[in-house]
Amino acid sequence: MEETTYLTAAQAAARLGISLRTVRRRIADGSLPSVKIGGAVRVPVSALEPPERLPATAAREAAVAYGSAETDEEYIRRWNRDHWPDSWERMLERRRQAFAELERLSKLTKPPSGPHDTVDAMLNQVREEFGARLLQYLPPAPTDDS
Amino acid sequence: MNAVVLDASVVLRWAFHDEADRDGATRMAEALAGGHLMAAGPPNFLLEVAAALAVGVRSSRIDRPTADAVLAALSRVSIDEGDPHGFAHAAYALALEHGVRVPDAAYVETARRSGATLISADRDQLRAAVAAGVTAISIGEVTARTP
Repeated sequence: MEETTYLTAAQAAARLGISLRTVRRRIADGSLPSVKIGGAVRVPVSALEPPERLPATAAREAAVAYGSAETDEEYIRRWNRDHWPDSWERMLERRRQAFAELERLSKLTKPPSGPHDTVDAMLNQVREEFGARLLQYLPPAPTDDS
Repeated sequence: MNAVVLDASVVLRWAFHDEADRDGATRMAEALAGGHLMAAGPPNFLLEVAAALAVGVRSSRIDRPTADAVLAALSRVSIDEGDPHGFAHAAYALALEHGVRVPDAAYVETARRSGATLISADRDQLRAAVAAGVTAISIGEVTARTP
């Protein structure tokens, strides 16, 4: 580990120009990424940098025409290594197997009988129900004479 | 960076064969399997997929064993579901600001935080994403540009 890669909470607070207390709260609620090194909480320097943003057009091209996009393989490897405790190759193999299985399974499904049971309609129903259920737990709206 | 946030409407197309714009969803799957793309989703992602599959089982579009197998397969795709903490308030604020549902806004917020491109079939969600400064593409556009 390089010394410049991780910061203490106090160093992160100074870098961000916010209080140590705010940094600790953001670490606790997860909005500021952190790691534990030997029992001590450290903030990766990369977490303090604004996310890399591509111009909209370039991002669209990268996502749609991925085959011709230049891929930062090392970045992707690091991203995946940080997120999944597995090797890059094993993760890709697991994905390939999963997608092959999904393709096989999809052929067992029935076509939609109408616009009411397409994937979009099913998902829309789920999201509407989610909102409706939350409303059940809210107190009734106050009336004018209350 | 080639990172995408896939709305559940895209992921569900992997599991159902006869759907509009399925070619675009399949292309996304190929990109993930080939290691060309990273994918992230909000904390509600898998719950929404599971809930939609339950709707599909009830309407007999998919039988229970197949739906079970779909969920098991999706768990191996390694879509990062992100951090459940400190997330709800931002999604809630986006929902109120842009007139979309909180579950829709959660995908927009995930893309906003990670600088990823949102891929979705939901036009309202795409509109909100663009208004929030997030790069967003409809799955229809991906399909149209699929060779």
